[in-house]
Amino acid sequence: MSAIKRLSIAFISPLNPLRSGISDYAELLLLFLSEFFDLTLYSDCGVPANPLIAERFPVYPVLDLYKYHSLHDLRLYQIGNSPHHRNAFTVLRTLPGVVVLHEPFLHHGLYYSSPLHYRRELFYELGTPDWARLRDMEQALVNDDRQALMDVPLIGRIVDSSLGILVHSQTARRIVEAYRAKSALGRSGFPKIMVVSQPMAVLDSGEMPEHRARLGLPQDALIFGMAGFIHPVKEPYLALQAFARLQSDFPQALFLFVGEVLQETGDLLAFARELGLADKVIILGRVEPLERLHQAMSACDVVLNLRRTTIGETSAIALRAMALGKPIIVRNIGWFGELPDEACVKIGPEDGVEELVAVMRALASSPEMRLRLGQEARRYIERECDPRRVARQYAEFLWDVYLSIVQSRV
Amino acid sequence: MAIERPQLPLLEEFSFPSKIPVVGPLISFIRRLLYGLTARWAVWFLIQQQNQINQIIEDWLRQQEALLIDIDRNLALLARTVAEIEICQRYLMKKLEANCTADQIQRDT
Repeated sequence: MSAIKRLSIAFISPLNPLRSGISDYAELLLLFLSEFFDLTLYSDCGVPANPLIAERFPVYPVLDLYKYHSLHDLRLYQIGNSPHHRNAFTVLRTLPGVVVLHEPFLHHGLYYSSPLHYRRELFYELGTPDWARLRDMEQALVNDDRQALMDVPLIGRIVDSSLGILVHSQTARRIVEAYRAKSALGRSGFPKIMVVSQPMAVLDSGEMPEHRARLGLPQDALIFGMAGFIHPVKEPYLALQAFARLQSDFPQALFLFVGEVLQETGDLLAFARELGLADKVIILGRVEPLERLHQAMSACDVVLNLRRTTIGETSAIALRAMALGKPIIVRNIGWFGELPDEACVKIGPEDGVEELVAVMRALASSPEMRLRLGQEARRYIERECDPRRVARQYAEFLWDVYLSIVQSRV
Repeated sequence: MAIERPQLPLLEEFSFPSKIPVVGPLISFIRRLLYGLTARWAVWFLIQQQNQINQIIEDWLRQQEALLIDIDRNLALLARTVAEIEICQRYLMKKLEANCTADQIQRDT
């Protein structure tokens, strides 16, 4: 293998200014990954918003991969459940490679990319043209009933054709392995699957009083926060109900939404008014750039990151909060359940307001507990999510895939 | 946004409606009578034939859909195989280049 010292990798991913968690993810990883590989980026972002990325890497539209694929030793796709991957889904059909599956569930991404392709992938996975099932699935998609969609995650083609798959949690790995086991097309143990942590650098949380002053927040308030896209799946209404119950004991408490409230979430402020919390709930809306998001999150004492159903995803926002040394409250479900108990507070998958109030009250009344959890959270990020470590894991996996293919055929 | 599978309808006879007031039903009756005497048997025969053809086409479309899924799955496997061969081809080319360079250096020295 002495002929090959360094691999040329086609890196296919959304990048900023495309608004996606995967854009931020890719930009963080790229700088470290470039220590191991020659990278060419394929993204439909136009000119990358990050000047560091724009200067250091050649960037082409995703469909240009049809022209240039023979120039690369391997293709590395960053794939998630969003229509930002529309062209990547198309190219993947004929030019498979190693896939980083950010969620082992691609319904929304495929459907909103193209209903025609969605149908094709659904029938691929079902193995039969089941039109009644298609209608049920479309209905579930419109109603955002993720539970009804979970038994057909639409990862069939990716599992069958990929040369390797990287996922970010044991939960995701189990879903991929379950499909691989039942696929009639699969070779035993192929493709290789590896769990790699999501990269996240430890962040400087700065001075909380400064951040609060900048946002016009009172210095003495106890602030609970929810960040990122505010989607019903993050249970903002449950959080507000629990928060309302704390008011008698903690009248100085505030609830801060740091992120865009999606249309399907409804009117959170109206709900807050119903609960008598009109002056206790603040919605900042989308906060950009990342530094400002971090500052706003740093202004919080506790960050809630709940999920009613999980599609096997990791949460960059949860990791950001941990990297800032913030105590987080999550449900014991999917990837969130894999976080160490000492680095976060977990409520059960089916727990309701009572249980949430209990943990919020415990955190509100104990600054020591908040401090301890925050420190453990940072330690977890340092230990598991160091981008340099993650890039090394990527490198080992990509070399492993590459060498095993070469050795098996040459 | 949804794409519906085309449903082939069963053919029906024309019902000869008339919108003319008062005498409309009579006109309609006479047309139906004439139609029944002169054309119905032939139209029925054609309708039956066309329904059979439609059924055959529908069955054939179903088979083609199932076949397309099989082809699609084979395509996934072929794409993977081609990707592996592409990797090996590039590897061998690099190796060849390296060997040529090494030979050249050896010859030069």
